[in-house]
Amino acid sequence: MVGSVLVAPREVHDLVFRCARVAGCDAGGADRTARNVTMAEVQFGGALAAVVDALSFEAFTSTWARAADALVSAEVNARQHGSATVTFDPPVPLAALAATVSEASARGIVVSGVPGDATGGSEIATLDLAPGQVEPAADPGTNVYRDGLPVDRGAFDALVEAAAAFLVAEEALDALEG
Amino acid sequence: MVPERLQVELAVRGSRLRPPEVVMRPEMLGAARLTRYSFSRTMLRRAVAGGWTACRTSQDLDAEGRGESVYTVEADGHRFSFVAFTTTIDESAHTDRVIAERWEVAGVLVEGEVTEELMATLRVEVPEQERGRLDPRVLCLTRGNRSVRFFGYLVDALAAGQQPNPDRVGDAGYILRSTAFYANGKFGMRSFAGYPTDHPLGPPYRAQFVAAWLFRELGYDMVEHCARIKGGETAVPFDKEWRRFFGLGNATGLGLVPYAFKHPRVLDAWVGVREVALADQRDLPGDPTSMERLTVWIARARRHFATGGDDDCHPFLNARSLVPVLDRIASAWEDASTSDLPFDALYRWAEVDGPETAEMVVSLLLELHEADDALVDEMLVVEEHAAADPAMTVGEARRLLDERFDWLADLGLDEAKANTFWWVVSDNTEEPRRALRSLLAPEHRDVAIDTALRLWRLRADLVAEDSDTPIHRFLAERPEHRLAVERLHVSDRRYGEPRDNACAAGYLPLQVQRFQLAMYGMDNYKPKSTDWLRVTLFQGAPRLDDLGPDVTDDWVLPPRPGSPA
Repeated sequence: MVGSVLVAPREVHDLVFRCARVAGCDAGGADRTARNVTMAEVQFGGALAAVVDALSFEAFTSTWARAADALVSAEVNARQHGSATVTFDPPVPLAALAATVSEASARGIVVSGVPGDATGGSEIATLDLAPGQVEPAADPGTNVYRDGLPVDRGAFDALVEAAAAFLVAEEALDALEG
Repeated sequence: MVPERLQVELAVRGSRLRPPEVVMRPEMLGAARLTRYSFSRTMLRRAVAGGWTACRTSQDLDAEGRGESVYTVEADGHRFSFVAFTTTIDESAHTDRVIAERWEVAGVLVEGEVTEELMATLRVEVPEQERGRLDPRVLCLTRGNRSVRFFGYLVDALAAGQQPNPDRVGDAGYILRSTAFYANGKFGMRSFAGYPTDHPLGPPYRAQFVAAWLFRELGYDMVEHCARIKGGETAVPFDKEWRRFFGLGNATGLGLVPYAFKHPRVLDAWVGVREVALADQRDLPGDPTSMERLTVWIARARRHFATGGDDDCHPFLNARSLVPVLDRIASAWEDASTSDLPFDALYRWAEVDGPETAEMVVSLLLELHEADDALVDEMLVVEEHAAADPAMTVGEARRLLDERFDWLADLGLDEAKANTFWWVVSDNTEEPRRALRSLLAPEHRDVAIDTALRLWRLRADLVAEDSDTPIHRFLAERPEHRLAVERLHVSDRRYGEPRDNACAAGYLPLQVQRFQLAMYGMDNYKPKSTDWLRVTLFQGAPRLDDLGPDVTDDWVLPPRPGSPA
């Protein structure tokens, strides 16, 4: 990867969480967004750029949150009725869904419709869900927890900058304490 | 799913365990002491059992102790190095807060060879601390300062060929005082999940405690080095009485509190390990050997605290004030000794006497307990994340709230003072702090450790919902409750929740901080405000040269040098 930086997965989670909070998500929604993005970056790469785009359009609290809610609703429908289809309008990047897909899989739901060559930025319009034998996720080929996760430096730096708004100025806090 | 080992062990003991309404009370957490299962103790026992070796591999210091030092540990086929950069700063720049911009000691624990290329990177990045950038070869980042009161005195004493005067330094307990031990992926370091299961630093916090142990060694070496330069042939090293007495100081602030409230399964493991051991020990009949051992430990603790300080340690008892506690324990032990279950009888008496007594007795009883350390390590490993099932109904959520969080009703969560503070991260090296809600609005910047309040609000808002409504539908309409629902699901452990509200006007951070510090293996708790305190780690512990099959684990509560036997 040209212009990459080696990071720990928890750094991605922490930054995205803070960005999502600043964008207006409550802590629970921000954590879900952060887990989705982190899993997408680890499994598919390219998720951070999608986050930077989402920040521009304030998507975390609207399209991203609704998409994850819709996927969960479809999972419950599939468990009750044998199958379900969820449509995202507008389409959302895989970065908004990856961990939610994984959690559905862990509960025995096969989620189809993610392209084989997808990245975290790939737009997903439709997913099909049905109970079944879930294939294990592809081995990323390296242990990112041991060796680090290479991510786009520009996107990472942009997230660092955006996440800084989560912090409160030391001077303001000192002033409160007199 | 295979149950975690700790849950199996807890289930086996069932009603013999102390109930969470006793153990997780803030007053009881705030009285906890280091035990045989604190991280410092387990680390050193595992080091001895594994035949680890440790030494100083290079040191280049000037007359003031400024320079570079490298210590190496060989452990189970792995090599770890503690690389420390030392300097001096003006006394006026000394601060224990994480916001300090300069430190006299900055160090890292590294796995593998410390190549010249890595060393060049570390020279730049490590002194920068939170502003630096590391990579997965680095396992832990730390820093600290010299003790302003004692470092120079110790150098002068040894340089003059004398050992320290116990009255000058006897209750200090440390030469260097650390603050943070960052690890687990911070600043690009290796993630905890990146350790294979058979890695010697795989158990939780093991890397941090190897780093802390080597940090302590650096303090001794710096003092003796400076004394040699200053005193020449007159200088002497620390003698046998002093060479283990000093530990590593530590200053701890509010940063521990969010961790305790955000990791219920970790907290359950930390408490659970102690409770499993306590239940086993209380269940034993008294044999003469173990009963005599407890008598010796009580006397030893009394001797240790009797030579400690009498500083104001409110709300805790200072060392001298623990002496009457130990006298009462000694007397109660005489009475309990005739019982069929003497250890249980002693504990039962202690719980009535009060939290400081109860937790002192817990720490003393656990000195008699000898669990398999591999099992203890295994019990500390937990799966932290568990997604709530979106098909769960509102009725089921209500049932879980009643079952797991009935204690919320005792916290006065409807009162205005229950929501006095919010928790915030400052922009100065990300120090956690509290802010009055009346003076500053959170605006989505709050650290969500308002667990009690969130669950209480969830409970109220579920009242109007149909019992059969799936929780995912409720959350789609009320996303502000997502964190509470996830917590409700993941909080399926006995000891996961401090029974407290971190946002209340009267909330006392010191209590949960003390529990965490005790679990680390720290002692000598000296609060400096309601929010931060100083402690000591590894006081009396073996030094690097001591590692070997003959090293025993009974190094805690060392007598002050020169104190009567």
